[in-house]
Amino acid sequence: MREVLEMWKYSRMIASFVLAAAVYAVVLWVFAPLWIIPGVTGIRIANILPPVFSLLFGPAAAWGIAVGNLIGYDILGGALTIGSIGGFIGNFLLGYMPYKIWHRMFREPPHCRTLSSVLKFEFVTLIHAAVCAHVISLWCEAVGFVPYTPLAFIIFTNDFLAPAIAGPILMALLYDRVRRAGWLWTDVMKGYEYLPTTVKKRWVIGTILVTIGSVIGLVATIGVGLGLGQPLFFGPGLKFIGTPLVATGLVFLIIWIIGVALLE
Amino acid sequence: MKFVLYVDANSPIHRLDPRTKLYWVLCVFIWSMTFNHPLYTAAILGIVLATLLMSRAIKGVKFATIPLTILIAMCIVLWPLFRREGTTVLLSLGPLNIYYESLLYAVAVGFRLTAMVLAGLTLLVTTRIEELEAALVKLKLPYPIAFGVSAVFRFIPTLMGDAHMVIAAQRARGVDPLRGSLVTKIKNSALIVAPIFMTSMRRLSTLPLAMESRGYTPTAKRTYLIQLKMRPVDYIYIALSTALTATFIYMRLNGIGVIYPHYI
Repeated sequence: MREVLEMWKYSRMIASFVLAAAVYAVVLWVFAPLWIIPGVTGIRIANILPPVFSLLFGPAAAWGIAVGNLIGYDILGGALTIGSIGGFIGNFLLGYMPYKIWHRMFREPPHCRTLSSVLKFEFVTLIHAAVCAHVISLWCEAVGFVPYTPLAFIIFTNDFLAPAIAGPILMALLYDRVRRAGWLWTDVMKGYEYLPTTVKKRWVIGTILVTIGSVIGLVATIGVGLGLGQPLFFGPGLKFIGTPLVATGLVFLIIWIIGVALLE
Repeated sequence: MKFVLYVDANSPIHRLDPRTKLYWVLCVFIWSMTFNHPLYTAAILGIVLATLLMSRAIKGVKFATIPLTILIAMCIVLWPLFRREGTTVLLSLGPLNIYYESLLYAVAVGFRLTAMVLAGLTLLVTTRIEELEAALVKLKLPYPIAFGVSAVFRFIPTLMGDAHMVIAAQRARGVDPLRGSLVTKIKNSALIVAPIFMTSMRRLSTLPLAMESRGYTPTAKRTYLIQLKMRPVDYIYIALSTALTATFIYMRLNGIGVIYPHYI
């Protein structure tokens, strides 16, 4: 996690941050969201960008995606609500998870030119979508803004489908160009490995815990929501569950935090 | 084509200290979230529009007219499906009842979101980016982050222009990336994103060089060309905004201006 703060010392990383934030904000604006819940969430084509930017720019992408979403979606797009606090953290994690897992676990570059590279890309995309959906929806349920189950389902679908379809194409187009230009985050932040020379056991355990905390956590919390009467979509009887659901979600969030700590 | 949000004018709003305007925007967000009755959120929207008129910079926000109209329309159509509580049934579609109260709530949310977007835009059309950066630093945001955020704001208008140029170029080649089904849009998004990304990378490649040649050191103590100074009129605006915030919260706590007391 220290690279997230350390990046502000590097002028090139600040340029990467500006690039990630501005491109994300503009693409969010150009492909205006097709609202599902106006002011809360919608179908966002711009979501193809976070995993790509994350794998290229590392921590600069994490900040960039969070700020780009705040500007392009919340402030300019009309979605600035109490949910935006969870949105900022969730979008930060969209940019944080893919590079964190990749630079600890996979020795193949994320060029998406081989099947295994694409599969790894899809894996980190799955994790980043799950953790973002879990965090934002848990926040919205906890503050009584929008119930967990339908929101988590929408955000997850949104954050996973677009990057899963178009992300590998974009990555294949951009990876070599960015690498040749020396813009990969580890080209700038010396002392960090873009790909691990050896995969340590604790990183494997960390990745397993992150997967349990995010993907299994999302499914389990949605399961609790469904079991206690929240519909998967906005059906009749939609209501807040409160404590039992939030407690379940928090347990998995703690597992995820332990996993991230082990990835350090 | 180049978009610039800032509109140069000598209005009372332009002359306000950026910190005062930031505080006002924060207050507008609080006011908007305080009420959920359309008459009250319309009144807040009225305050924002009056401020915008006073700033003589309304031409700077014209680009947002269509997106905001769509946002309000989507609110009116969709929010009654999510807040289905009330006593007066307006419409019955099988098991689905649309209540008069939920329709009022929907209109209130539409006005609320519009007020918040316009407040943010009012800040941007009346404040130079350099002033905004100086204000963020004065508000104790670490300099590298304040610089990064201000650079994002500075860069977005240029990038918007680039995006429109890319879309026009793709249309000239017979591809309209903004039309078609969702999957088509997702696939075509790479046609916009890749050129925007490469253009931005080229543009930003000189930023680190520019920063370093001007002696960028993140931790150094800095002096600023722009010296912000709060004037009596700033304190009057802040006092007025605070008084209105307190009044509105008091009203809400006494059940005034709400359709659904248990919802934001």
